[in-house]
Amino acid sequence: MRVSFIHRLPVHLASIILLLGFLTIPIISEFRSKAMEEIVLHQAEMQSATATLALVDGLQNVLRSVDTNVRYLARDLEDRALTPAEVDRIIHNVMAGTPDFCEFSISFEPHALSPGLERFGQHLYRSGDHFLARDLAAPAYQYWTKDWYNDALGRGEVNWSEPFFDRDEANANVVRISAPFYRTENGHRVAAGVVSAGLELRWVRRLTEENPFFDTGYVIIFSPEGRLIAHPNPNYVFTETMESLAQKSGTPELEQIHQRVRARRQGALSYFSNTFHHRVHESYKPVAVSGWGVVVGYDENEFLQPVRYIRWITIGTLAATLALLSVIVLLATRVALRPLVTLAAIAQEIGQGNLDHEILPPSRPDEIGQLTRAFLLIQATLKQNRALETNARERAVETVAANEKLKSQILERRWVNQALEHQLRYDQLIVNSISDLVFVVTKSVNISRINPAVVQLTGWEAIDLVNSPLARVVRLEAGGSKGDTLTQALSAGHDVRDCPAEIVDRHGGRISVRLTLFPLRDRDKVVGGVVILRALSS
Amino acid sequence: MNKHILVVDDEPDIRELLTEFLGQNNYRISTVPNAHEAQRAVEKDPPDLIITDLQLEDTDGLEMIQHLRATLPQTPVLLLTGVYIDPKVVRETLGGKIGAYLQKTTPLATILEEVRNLIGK
Repeated sequence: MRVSFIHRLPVHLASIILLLGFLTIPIISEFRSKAMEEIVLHQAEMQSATATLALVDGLQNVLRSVDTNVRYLARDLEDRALTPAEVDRIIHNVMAGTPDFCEFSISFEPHALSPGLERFGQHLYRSGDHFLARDLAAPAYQYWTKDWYNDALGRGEVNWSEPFFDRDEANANVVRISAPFYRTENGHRVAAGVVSAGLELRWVRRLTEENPFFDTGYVIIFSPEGRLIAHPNPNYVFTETMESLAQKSGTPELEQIHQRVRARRQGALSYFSNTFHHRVHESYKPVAVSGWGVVVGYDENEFLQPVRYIRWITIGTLAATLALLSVIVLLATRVALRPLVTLAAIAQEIGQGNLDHEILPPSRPDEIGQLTRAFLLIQATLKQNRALETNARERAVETVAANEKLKSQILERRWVNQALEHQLRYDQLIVNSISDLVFVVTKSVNISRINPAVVQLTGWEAIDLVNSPLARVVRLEAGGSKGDTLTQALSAGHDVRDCPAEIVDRHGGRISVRLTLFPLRDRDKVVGGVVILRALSS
Repeated sequence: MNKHILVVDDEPDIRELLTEFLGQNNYRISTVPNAHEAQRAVEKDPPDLIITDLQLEDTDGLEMIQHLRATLPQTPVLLLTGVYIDPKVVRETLGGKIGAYLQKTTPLATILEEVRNLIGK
């Protein structure tokens, strides 16, 4: 029986290797890729955190210098007696010496500058390459009604405003820093006014653009109220807040980041961004000086793509290696198992009863050799068993035949016995039914049997007469010894017919009869005779 | 299917021996002790051969055969009896009534041979 290709052992082994490989390779590859992704993402997170820290430091450097400048100017004005002209000169000097400022103002509490002057507020802003002045106490403005002024006084320290677009003067995004200054009256420190500087925010955008955080990196900067100061999408800047963007894009993580930054916390989040339409990682950190929040984010795919590429390379390499290994296994096992194929053919021959199939003695000491020796032993043993079996079968057949023959003989014997018995019984019936007196005699004319008619007529029983000479009870009336006559007739094989005779009964009475003798022949040899006496009627 | 033989004999030993012997030789055997039961037997299960004794309890075999001919006109009959009948008598007188005549002293093998002659194996 030829084994089909797919059922061959080498094919099985190769298939198992392939199957196990295709089951395990994806698992190993996936596990390895996941581990690599974890490592890469962790490294990216570290870089992102570092970049966030660097950006916040850069921001703080600028903002702190502004903050420090404003504080310094406010402190410089404390308890200082000034005239409006001096105030104007200070303002000009500050603007000329501080290019970061797009505007600067000094505003006073009522009568703080001069007892005769209730309100004074002077403001200078850049317009091109020169400065323009503005009276903040003018009815059209009235600085004491503005938040930047009241908030600074109310808080008693430097106050950073929400960034805003200064349409009237700077025509740019601006944040205003205000600081109160004081004077001492009667030993008490009382508010004298507010120093306020405007900081144009173009540099913020430049700063974020100067920090290329990865290929897909981006920066979001937002104010304490969440207003977007910097965002990859310029349309969102100053038009959206973290909250509005969170709602608009369905990204609650943005609001979460804002809340954490407001709580002065830093950290990182990974989530699917509906704004960028991919999974992003964002590190966030508050800016201590202004209360702003900085978010540095990147697309995780930027780092995962190389890993995934490596994964496919790995899978391909492993699959190719596996396929090559399968071919090697296929070829190697075919070579290794060739003797087994021969042994299988031998086993098949033996299984089909061909015990005379030649098995070459093994020439190798390995397991194949052992198996061949075992086959030789099996073949020899089976031959021996077959001979024994054949012998036993023949003996069994002979025994069965003998048994059948014996049974047949026994049956035949039983049949013969019953036939003889039947015949004897039938003969007895015939003899007993004869009304004449019948004596069966031996060749010496001794009585061997009588019929019931003898008993009935003479009173003699068989026990009285059997083995006695016939002459004891029967006598021929003709001369001569009747015994001699009958003996001679038997010896010669002649009949004696209808001779007058008499029979003596049990009581000595004599009855006249006619005697007939027939010799009994057995295969032409006279073995006895039958004497029939017919009683004569009286 | 095995051929069916009806054995009619008043002696149980004869019936038993013939049943055993002919049964061993692939015949199906039914036995009855007298002519009356033989009549019922042939009506119930017609045999392919009737083996009968001459001297039965209720009649003799030849008379029974004459009666059975009404039911089984073609079924062969083997007369198996202890009574010696002259071959000439058998040939000239009984030939029309019976298929064969054998004495009970005849060996079983000869009886089987005669049975096969009459109805085959």
